[in-house]
Amino acid sequence: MDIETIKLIPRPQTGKGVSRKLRAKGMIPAIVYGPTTEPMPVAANLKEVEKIAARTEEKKYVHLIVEDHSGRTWEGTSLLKDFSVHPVERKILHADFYVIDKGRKITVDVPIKLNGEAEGVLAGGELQQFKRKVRITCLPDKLPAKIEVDISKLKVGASIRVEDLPVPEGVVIRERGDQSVVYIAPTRATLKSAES
Amino acid sequence: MLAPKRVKYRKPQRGRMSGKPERGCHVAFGDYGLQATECGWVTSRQIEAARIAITRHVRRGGKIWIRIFPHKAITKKPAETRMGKGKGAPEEWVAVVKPGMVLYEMKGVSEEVAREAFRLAGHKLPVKTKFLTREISYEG
Repeated sequence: MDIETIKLIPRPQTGKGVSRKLRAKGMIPAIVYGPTTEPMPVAANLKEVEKIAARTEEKKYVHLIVEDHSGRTWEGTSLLKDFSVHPVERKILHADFYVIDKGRKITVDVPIKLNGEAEGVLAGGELQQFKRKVRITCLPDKLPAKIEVDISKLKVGASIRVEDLPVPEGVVIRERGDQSVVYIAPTRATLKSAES
Repeated sequence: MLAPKRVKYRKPQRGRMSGKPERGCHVAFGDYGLQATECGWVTSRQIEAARIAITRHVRRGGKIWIRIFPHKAITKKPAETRMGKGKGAPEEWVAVVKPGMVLYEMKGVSEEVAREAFRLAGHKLPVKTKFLTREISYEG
């Protein structure tokens, strides 16, 4: 795995005031935690976190180095599991780094990528995508960056459900299988051509 | 125009509009969104006027979603009435909008068309607005 490295600073004080001062300096409050790691409040560089958050089609793994003033360091591979965004400014306010344990399964939301142009769309139908992410469980090394679905053979009225998603070996979908992911809805044009 | 079918209380209190929205601040259905950057009451007439402005600009093609609904009744006393004698009659319906809420969404059109349609719609609304895309919204 070729992953980026981020340096973090321990954040001994927590709360609104401290967090606001951090954000004014171009840093954001973050937390590092995991199944075998004690939660560590840290401060991260906003620009670096934004770069990882913008990876919508790549894995959000990152190598973390937490270095305190006394020179003690902690290192680990983690996943940017969640982040909160300011509703108006769209700036990241806080990030969650989940430390991964190679032997332990993780549950993550993975984006669904549609490939190709559906036959139904070329015939005048409308592509409706209901789900853009799906929750999966797998070992960290088996984590796919995205789940790709080929929709080129979908005709008008056809749909793909969660249970139809092609997942790699070792990956389990944690959602109900009968939910629709994509549907090619008939339009007035397709209905007219069907009638005639 | 949009209005609730029935409500529990006909004459609600005015309430406050402070704080951030708990949800409804991401582009969820379409590819582009019109986002409020300040708080306010948007009446059902304004919602409809903005919708018409969007559909007139887009013409055919494209799909529009209205993400707000006027749940709140606003009462008003008749003109030249003395104070007292109870709360006025329900006059109009408003949606309480907080900064960051996505008001309209659109898909199936080019970005330029969506931008212009939302610019025109923004002029019909009592709150300042800005254009939002799915990428800016970190929604992939």
